[in-house]
Amino acid sequence: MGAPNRGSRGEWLVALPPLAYLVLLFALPSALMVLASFRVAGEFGGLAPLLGADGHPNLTFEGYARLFASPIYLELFLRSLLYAAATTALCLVAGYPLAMLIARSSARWRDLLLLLVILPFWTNFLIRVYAWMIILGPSGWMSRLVNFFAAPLGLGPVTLMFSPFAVILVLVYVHLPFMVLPLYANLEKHDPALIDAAQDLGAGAWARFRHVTWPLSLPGVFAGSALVFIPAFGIFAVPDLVGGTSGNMVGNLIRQQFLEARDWPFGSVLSIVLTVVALALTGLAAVAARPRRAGLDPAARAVAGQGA
Amino acid sequence: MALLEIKNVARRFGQTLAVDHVSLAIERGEFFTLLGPSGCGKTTLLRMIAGFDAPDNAREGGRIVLNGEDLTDRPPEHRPVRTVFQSYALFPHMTVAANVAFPLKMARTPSAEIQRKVAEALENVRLDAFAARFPHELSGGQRQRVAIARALVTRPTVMLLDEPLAALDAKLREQMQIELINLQKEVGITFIYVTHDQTEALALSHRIAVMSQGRVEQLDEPSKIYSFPCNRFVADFLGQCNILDGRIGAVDGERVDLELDGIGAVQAAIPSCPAAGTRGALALRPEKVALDRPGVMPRDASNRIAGHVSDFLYSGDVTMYVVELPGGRRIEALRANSAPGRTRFFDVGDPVEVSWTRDAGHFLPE
Repeated sequence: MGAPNRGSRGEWLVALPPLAYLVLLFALPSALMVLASFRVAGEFGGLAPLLGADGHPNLTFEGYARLFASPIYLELFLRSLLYAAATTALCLVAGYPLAMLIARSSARWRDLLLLLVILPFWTNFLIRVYAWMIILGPSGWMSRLVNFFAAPLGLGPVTLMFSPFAVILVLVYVHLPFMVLPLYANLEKHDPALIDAAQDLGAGAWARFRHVTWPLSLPGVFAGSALVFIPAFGIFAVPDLVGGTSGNMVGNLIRQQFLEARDWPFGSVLSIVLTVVALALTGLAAVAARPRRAGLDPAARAVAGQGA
Repeated sequence: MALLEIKNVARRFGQTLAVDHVSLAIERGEFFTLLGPSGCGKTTLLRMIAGFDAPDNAREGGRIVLNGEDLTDRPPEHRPVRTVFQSYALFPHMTVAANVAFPLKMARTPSAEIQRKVAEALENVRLDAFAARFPHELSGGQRQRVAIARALVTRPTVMLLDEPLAALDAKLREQMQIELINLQKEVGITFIYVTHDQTEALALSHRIAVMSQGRVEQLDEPSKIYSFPCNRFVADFLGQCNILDGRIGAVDGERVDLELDGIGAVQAAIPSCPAAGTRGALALRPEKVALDRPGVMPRDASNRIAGHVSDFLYSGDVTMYVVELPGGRRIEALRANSAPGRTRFFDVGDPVEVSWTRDAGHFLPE
């Protein structure tokens, strides 16, 4: 009876550092935020004391009531959701072929291509966004290129900066490596014999992708999408710099509440709702992406059913 | 006309000719084996039949023709050929039934027919009870059978098997060999089988092509290849063989005196014997060499040489004795451990006599 006990104690010991990490850096701050979201703003910013002058705790649902009372906030959430979803989808469309190319390259090319994917991280994030501001600005090459083709069609000078287009473009640029790397890690592990087998069994290029590569890559697709969607949903720097007023996202509002309006409780309410929505969506996606039993089609499932 | 014709096909990887202008004609319904050591080109040849590789000399007549149709430029998915891969290559995210249904689905078979054919194919390989399992829930032998069912379900013209039993343990391999023979007989589909295992090749095949360094060394029925190897490589690669160097002495029709280096004159029967003085070697299978105590006169032994046992390898049913002759040459002799009450006949150091008949050996000219 001693051995299993010792084993489980050992397991606890090994799990302790990551557990402490999670408690200190995730659970505790989250709890503080939840608490803050029910508190009252201080007169000069920050939070009012937890206990009021009358001895009753200073707690309120006002922040949540305010959030759900105005359609402005709902609209902002929906817009952020839309931008984040579009960013995720575009990253997937752009990143999947790239990840596949890297995974199927020879070892020498593979290292070089991976380096190229990671290389932007060596430059500061803000500097890279500033670079985009120059490219998208009225005298940047992209604006001039677009207007060169737009002018003969009678379309007035098009501005790229400070638009949803600019926000999504830069969001895709910033998050692409987070999609490519987990996808590559997944695709690289695929047994090439499976593709050969599919082809041998009569599958053309599209069918091989559709029935073998894609379903086997779903864990990578999910991991990459989560790594892109979650940060893109709450980001404020990119819409701040290239979005203008039309490209605002929830992150901007949260930043505003904490730094400009100095309304910490409402900022906390927005943060908590953002976190809950992101977690809920990720959880839903995880359930949807779970491998299903009896894979292919009704016929195969029927035969499978008979066998079982 | 042969079902599958491989015409003068060559394939080079860097400096080495993996397949060196090979021509083969494989008949309908045949169990044909490509046998050779690793790197002999057998798998490359198989991949070219499947379409995963192409002959380098396709423009200079290196073609693969199936049933009168030239396949050389067709991609694998459009060839009526199916492969059973060495690693089985079962789709891990599909059930057994879905794996077997895959090629039918690709061929746009109606759903009811898919259901019937999958059930039938799984019954063929006795896996009907496992249809709903996933590949990782099966044993190695079961996975093997799923791979075979998946390849057979569309009734291909030719089925290619790339060392399909290599990953199985010995007992299971033997059982699968019998199943493969029966299955092939039952479905009547032409099998092209690649292996480096000579016992497997001898047990399964109607015909064997022994390959070495990209070339076919010998092509014949298993018993012919085993009994009459055409050169040293084939003699040595298939089973155990004493290869005794020497030259032809006096020739009298088929009766020939052979001068074996370090052993002396022996008698042999060599049909259409080369001229006296020709150098070569006598290939003598250990099971054709009799082994007795000195003085026991075996019937019909043209050649008798005394020596002593220097080593032996006991393997239960038989023992392989290595006999050292006075000149230092060694001859291997196989003896069944068939005497009642005894485990084997001789020990290291025992004086013995090896003997063989005139027609026991096979002469390999140089």
